[in-house]
Amino acid sequence: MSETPDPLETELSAIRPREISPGLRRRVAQQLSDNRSAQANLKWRLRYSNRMWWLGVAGGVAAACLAAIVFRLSVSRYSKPDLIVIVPKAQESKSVPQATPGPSADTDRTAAWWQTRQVLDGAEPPMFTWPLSESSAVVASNPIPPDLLR
Amino acid sequence: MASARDDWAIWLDEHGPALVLFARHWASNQADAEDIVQEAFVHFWRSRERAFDPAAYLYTCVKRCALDWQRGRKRQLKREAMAARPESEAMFGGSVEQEERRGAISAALGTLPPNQREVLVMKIWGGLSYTQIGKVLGIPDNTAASRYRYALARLREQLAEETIP
Repeated sequence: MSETPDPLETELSAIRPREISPGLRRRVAQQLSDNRSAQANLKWRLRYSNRMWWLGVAGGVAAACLAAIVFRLSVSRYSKPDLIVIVPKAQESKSVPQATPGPSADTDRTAAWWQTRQVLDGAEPPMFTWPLSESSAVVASNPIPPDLLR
Repeated sequence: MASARDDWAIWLDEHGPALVLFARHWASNQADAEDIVQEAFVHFWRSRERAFDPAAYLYTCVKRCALDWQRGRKRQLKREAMAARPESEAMFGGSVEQEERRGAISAALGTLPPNQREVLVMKIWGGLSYTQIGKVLGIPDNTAASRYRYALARLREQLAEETIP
């Protein structure tokens, strides 16, 4: 597109708009300097808060590790591992049969049970006595029909 | 190399007068136009790194700020009160000999439709290309060019009427 110089265009380009007032320049400078200081302040705050955040994270991790160690120590102190006796099958036949461990006599109830069992093992079975008298049974029952007695 | 402080001053010196003239489209006096330009320029300077075309973005900022300014109720009332008075402040600077001609051009500029006037200001005094104007206004380059041509034609008519005694 050819750009032929238009006289009006040339005339308009020749005149300049009014210059901006010194007040506008001063206000812009003021606002931008305020903005710069605000930005610097914000940057410092961000850096500070970032540091504090990392400190918080590190503190949290350290506290968690400490708690884990303390918990582990307390658990290992107060609990003993159960004894597991493993007897090989080949030696089981040769080995002397060990008495089956009875229930521990820790409690009174178990002790009473153990004592009762010993008594029952060694004692004669008690004689059974019929609690009802013969006469009362006869009296109570009906006479047997003669057909059945035959 | 200019420091960061000088950079904004260079931008303001280069574009400030045209920006104020551009803002005069929405503000009836020079002081209000300068308020708009101040707000827009500070906004532009803070966010200029995000702009693909800084010059076009600067004009976009001025237009947005001007529209926001116009929406303000108090400022609207003030604007209406100011509009009731005849525009006495000159839009253009220069020698005293051409004052009459400049007055005629200012008056003719005021009669242009808003969409043609803003294109003319950005093209003549802002030095923006049609592509940049298109970006500012969100229109195709050809539309910006045609608006510019219509504006010049209308301005020519107006000025011809002025010169006829």
